[in-house]
Amino acid sequence: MTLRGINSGYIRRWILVAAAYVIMAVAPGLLFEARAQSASVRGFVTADPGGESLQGVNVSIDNMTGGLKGAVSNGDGFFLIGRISPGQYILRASFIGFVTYVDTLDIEADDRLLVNIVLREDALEMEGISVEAEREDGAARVTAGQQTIRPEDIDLIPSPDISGDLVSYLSTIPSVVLMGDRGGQVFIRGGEPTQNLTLLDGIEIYQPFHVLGFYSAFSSEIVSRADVYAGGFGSEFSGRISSVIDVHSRNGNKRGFNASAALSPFTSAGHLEGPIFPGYISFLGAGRFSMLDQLASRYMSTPLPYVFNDVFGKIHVRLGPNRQMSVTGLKTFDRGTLTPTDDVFRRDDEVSWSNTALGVRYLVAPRILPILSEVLVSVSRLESSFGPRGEPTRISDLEQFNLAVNMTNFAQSSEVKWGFFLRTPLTETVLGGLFQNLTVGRGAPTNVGAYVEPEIYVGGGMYVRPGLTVQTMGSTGDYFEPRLRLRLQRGIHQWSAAAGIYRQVTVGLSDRRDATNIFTAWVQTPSSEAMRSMHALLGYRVEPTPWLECSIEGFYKNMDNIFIGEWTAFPGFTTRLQEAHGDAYGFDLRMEVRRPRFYGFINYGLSSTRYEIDPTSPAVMNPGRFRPPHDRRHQVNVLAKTAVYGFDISARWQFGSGLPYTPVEGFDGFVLMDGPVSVRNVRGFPRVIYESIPYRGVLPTYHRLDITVERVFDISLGAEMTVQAGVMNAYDRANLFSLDLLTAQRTDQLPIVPIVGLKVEF
Amino acid sequence: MNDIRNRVFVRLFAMVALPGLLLATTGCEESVDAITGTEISFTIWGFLDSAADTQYVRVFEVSDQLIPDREVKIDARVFSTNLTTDERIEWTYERVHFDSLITGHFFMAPFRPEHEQRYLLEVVRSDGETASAEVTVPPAANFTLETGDSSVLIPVFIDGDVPNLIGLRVTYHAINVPPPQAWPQGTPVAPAVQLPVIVSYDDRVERISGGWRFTIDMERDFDIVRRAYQINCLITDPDESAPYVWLRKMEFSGLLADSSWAPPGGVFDADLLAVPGTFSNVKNGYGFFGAGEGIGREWTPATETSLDAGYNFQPRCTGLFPRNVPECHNPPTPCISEIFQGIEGFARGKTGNVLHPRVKHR
Repeated sequence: MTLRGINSGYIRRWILVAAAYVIMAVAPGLLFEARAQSASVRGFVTADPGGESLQGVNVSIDNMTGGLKGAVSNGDGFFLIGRISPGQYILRASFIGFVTYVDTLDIEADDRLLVNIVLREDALEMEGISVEAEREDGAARVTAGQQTIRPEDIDLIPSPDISGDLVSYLSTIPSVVLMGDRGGQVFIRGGEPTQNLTLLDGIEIYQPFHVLGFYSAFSSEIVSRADVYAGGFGSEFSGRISSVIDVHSRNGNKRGFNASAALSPFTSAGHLEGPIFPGYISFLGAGRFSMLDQLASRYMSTPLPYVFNDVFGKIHVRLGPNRQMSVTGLKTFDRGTLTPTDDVFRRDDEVSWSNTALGVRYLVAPRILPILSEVLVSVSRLESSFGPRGEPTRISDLEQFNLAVNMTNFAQSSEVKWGFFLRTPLTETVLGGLFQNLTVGRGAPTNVGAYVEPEIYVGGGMYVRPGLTVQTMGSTGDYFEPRLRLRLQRGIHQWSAAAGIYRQVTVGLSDRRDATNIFTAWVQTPSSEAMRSMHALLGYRVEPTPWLECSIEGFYKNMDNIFIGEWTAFPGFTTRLQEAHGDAYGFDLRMEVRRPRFYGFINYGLSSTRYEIDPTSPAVMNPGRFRPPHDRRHQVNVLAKTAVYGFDISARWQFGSGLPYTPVEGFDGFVLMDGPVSVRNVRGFPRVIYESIPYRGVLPTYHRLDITVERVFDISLGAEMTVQAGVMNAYDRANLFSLDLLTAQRTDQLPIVPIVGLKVEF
Repeated sequence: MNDIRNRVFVRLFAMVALPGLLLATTGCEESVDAITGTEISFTIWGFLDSAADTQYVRVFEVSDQLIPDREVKIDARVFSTNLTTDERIEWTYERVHFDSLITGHFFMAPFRPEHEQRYLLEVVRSDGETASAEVTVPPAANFTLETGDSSVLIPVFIDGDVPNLIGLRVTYHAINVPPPQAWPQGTPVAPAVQLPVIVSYDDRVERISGGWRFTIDMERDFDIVRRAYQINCLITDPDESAPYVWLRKMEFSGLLADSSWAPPGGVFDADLLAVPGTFSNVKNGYGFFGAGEGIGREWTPATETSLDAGYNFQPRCTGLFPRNVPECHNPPTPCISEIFQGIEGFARGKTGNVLHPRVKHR
């Protein structure tokens, strides 16, 4: 929805200001209403040992006469129970794997008690995998596009490292498409990688996935949880039109030191955490460095010309019983070439990118107000380049300062999230003629906005979350973005739905004609209007038995003002950008089994994505609706994990139907006959005769089996050593990564790769 | 009861998962046909030039290789037939290596096409597969370009019933005049470089009774020339440093063409015309084979005319720091712009020429 239709800019601006005013005024009003209530209990729930915040803890108070009230802790472990009448209560906090916390409270009128709860791990319950009634994660546990992923989930997926990685788990989600085992490009439900909003503790990370597809900046060592919204995300997120990957890192152990060191054929990694001031200040540091040159390349026939690494650091401070602050920093680096080393044109171009991010997060739960406040200040930078090493011909830098204030008001049957944000993305790009019709340089579109999103319990198990984001996006205009999320819980059944409108003004442009060209240029949208998408999704989930869960979710996504590289007959490494629109639809089917000695899931995703160049766009030829190169129609993922004689055996099979490509009819040459051309003296150009409709061919299907076997050994001084052996691509399937249409040269993904890994934890 | 139900679910899971795994283990490599092939055999580029004694045509075989074997003669013979006289001649083959990748296969014939006569060109493969094109050579015409007076406006007239006029270009052979010094010392200054700048007049021509006319505007074109030099870092911003460019000579060329030589939309957009079949009169083949008469003139404008148009040959920063010339005190900004990137009206030529301008009128 845009306000562009209104002629007067003055009126437009007033409507925007009025809407922002309503958000800022009404939400505190709810706060005021809540303040007039009687007593309340609030606090943070943390785990012992470690001091990590616990999400999803059931906290209840019971006056033993049938008056039971409760709340569930949020991602920061915060809970608040309001409108409590004076009296004596029993406070209980329970969470699977932890000893239930019980306390007695004497509550008087207008009391605002702050009770910070520490839950002790239950050694007995931790034996084996048990049924988790309160859990929020799981392969089939999807609510209106949202799925929560925890480190335990990540570690289920066989990977070349003992420590898992978030991207390995993402690749098991139906409708999440990775172009192959390299490139670091993640497409979610038809959206482009640059349309995903990836956050680490509220800091935007622009290109977090490493060039080798098994890795990202988010190893399971640092992840506390990740909320993945494949679509239909709420108003608290804005600025991207496809999806959200909201990663929260661990705070580090506040009671004791932990460390680990790991080595695999692909990487070496380590982490260290511990208290700086026991109980109050902790740190967590982790690093990972690629070992492809030193190890993997020595026994693999396939060249792996990649270098990547990442370093993460965090300091978490408990400033008081109701205040916390954390400082998070991340640095990543990737370099490599996806072009075959025996490329006929002897291109020696490399792509490289580096993320640098630093953020401060301050969290406070005021004693006198039923509110949780969060202030985020961060700076994030992405530097990308493409070309011969040391002499890049294409450069794209993106730097953004971000200030966000997020508030949550707690009321009897509702919770209101609201806040405002300021983003100042600064882009600087040298394209070297990549997009012939685009002249770019510096861009600095300031993005200011506010949002409000109440969650209201309307009874009968029905939760409604309407939302509205109002923002101004650089020179492209002012926008209203309405959102809606619904959830209906009835016993073992859950229905959920979501819809919304989304806008994006800082866009990443890539030439998708060539799968090996992953350079992304970040610019302010070349269009006069911000990119727009509209999401709608509907899901159903059922848990017929405590150990089985099934879900289905259908989705539709419509995209406007997007940009795609144009197909022309020149075999050029440059193209022209054309404005386009597209849509994606499909559904996901998931089934998850959790037994004491067996865990498994199987899921299937059906998806269809279509792009169409706008009729008004000055395209050389308009092929009508066509499949973009990431339109993978069918995906199947099967995971099975079991424990046998102390060995954890994990197997994963993945299947993807073939990606589209544009077949070539042949080659000839072209001479521009635009005058008295002396054809004998003109060199001319080789020409590709493509089929008239791009991407009409289909590449071979993709499937692969990965197997790992792990065993943990206790060694002296309380240390543990984990040994892993396994094989990636166990049956040596020749999965195609890219097909050079100029030379018909095919590049395959990794062949069979035996792996051995070692990890020592202290 | 629960146990039975649990077992059923486990079996169901296994029944779904195991066949998938079995299917996987039987997987094998699948090939992919990247090049599907076409029934078209040849692509032809060229034209019959009634002003030339020897005619050339370039022939490409449509193949499954982007860069075919450069040492192999293509399987083709070329014939032309004057459909008025039925005279048929075979053209002779010639091969030219342009560089390490591109080899040109040409056919030539020593004759001058007759005005207003129709010709058939055939390219024949040994199996009889033929691509062909028919063209009519346009009528004769007179061409006048008046360079005599010292005006920056040069009128051009074509007298005759010529159906089409294309490829009208004025080439400015200019050279930059760098300042002899820059401040601070060591600031890079571009050397003197001759950069031909071509300005198209295709969309400025006007049909008049009995012919065509248009006017070359040297003053207007000077802005384009100066921007081309600026974008190539040969001169710096006119407000800041030495902006001078000197004109050495001018060249005009054009083609009196047959009526079929008309691209879609009237614009020779290489990206558009490169799409096979977009602009083609070749039967059973790709490409274009036209007919016409090339016209051209080369001359050196009078010094005063060049000065009037905006050119200058004197470096501004002569002597030691002249106080009244600001650019001699403000050093030229080192220029790192990409060649031709971002300049309005210019793009890289795709014909093998240095530059193919698309003039944008304001």
